[in-house]
Amino acid sequence: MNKERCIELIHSEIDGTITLEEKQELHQHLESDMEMKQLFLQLMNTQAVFNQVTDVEPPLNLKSEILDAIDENRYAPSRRRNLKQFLRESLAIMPAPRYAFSFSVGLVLGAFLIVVLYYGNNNNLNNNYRFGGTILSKEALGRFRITDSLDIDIPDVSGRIEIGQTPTIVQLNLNLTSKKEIEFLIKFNPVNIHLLGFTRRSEGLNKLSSDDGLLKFFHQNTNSYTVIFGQKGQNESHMVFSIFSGGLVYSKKMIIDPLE
Amino acid sequence: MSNDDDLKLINSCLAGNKGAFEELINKYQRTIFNVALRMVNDYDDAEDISQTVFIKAYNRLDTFKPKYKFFSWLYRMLINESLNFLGKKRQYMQLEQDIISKDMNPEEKYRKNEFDRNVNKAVGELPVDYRVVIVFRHFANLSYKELSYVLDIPIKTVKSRLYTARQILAKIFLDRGIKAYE
Repeated sequence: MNKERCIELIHSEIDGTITLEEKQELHQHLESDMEMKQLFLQLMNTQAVFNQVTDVEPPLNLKSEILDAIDENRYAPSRRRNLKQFLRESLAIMPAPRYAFSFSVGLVLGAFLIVVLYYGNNNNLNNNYRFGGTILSKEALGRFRITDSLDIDIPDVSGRIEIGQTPTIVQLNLNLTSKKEIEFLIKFNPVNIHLLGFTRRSEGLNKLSSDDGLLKFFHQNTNSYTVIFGQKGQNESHMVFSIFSGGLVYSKKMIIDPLE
Repeated sequence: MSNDDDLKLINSCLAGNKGAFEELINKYQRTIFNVALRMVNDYDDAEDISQTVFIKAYNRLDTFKPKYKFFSWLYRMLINESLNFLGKKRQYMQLEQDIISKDMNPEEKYRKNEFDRNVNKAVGELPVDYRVVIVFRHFANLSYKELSYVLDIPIKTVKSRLYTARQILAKIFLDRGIKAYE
């Protein structure tokens, strides 16, 4: 038996996944391999130690603090009923509900058409992002929900990344503060995610560039950025956020689960 | 309780029954808190992380996909929160709380407290990539496959990290005379 196989079987024994035949094979081998036997005994001791570590009781007030902090009406059916009731009641009190409703829908569709016509020709990245403005694209007109967040706190750099999602859009809101010039990179899987736009709150360093599955820009002082991606399919994907300042100083991977 | 039971509770919660979420807290708070504690080695921080995980889970419950197991989904948030916390707070902190059963006599209590403290300290000294694998394997009883999903790494990497982590710990335990007691 070679060393790798022996180590694999020792761990299988610890995990309780070893078969009877494998166990016999292992113990036969250990009789003649003192180095592996020593390792086996040490690892079995480690496992036994873990089994004897006391589980800690969670704080008594943990549950009540969680329950106090959550919005108990978040999934309350009454809220949805109220919205329906509100629409019904709003239409009911209008003098000519059918015409007023049609007029409102026409207005919304008209506005949407203007936006699509204005931005529809600009499908590539260079034309689709704008600095200091708000990105509007057909896909970005959905309602975003914040699904995850990440705090950055390393020497000289702090900030927060918030991920907002619709079923087809992933929006990153980045707030960054850095004393020194840093390069911020976002790596993503271009099969599932494609870049739609980038904007920032105020002028400053930029040198924005993008490649297949990569977006990078430079940053200094305090600024906020919004990056919008389109998301295809129902497979989860991930993004890796990295900061370079004379070398890699920060890297964090976040899973993006598509919303249904 | 199976994953089907969890799904029933989730659906009940999404239908507006807050009590269903309370049951999910009852079921998972002990594991979530203990794993967080082993990851960050501080009682108050583990409490904060556990709270954040449950609150995030509640707020995103309508995005949960039934094809996954609820606990895997929850543990994934726990990992993100713990690693995010550790990124912020690099220094190692000693676990000082008295966590031992009140039924023990003072001598037993002291010995057990020291034992747990030494083990937790050793686990806390592992590099984060190894610590997370060993903590979830031994304190949350995740299988290799579940670890692979929760950590988003291949099973081969899970095994390799777990084997290395165990071997590092075995050496630390040996050097410090930490042994399982009779």
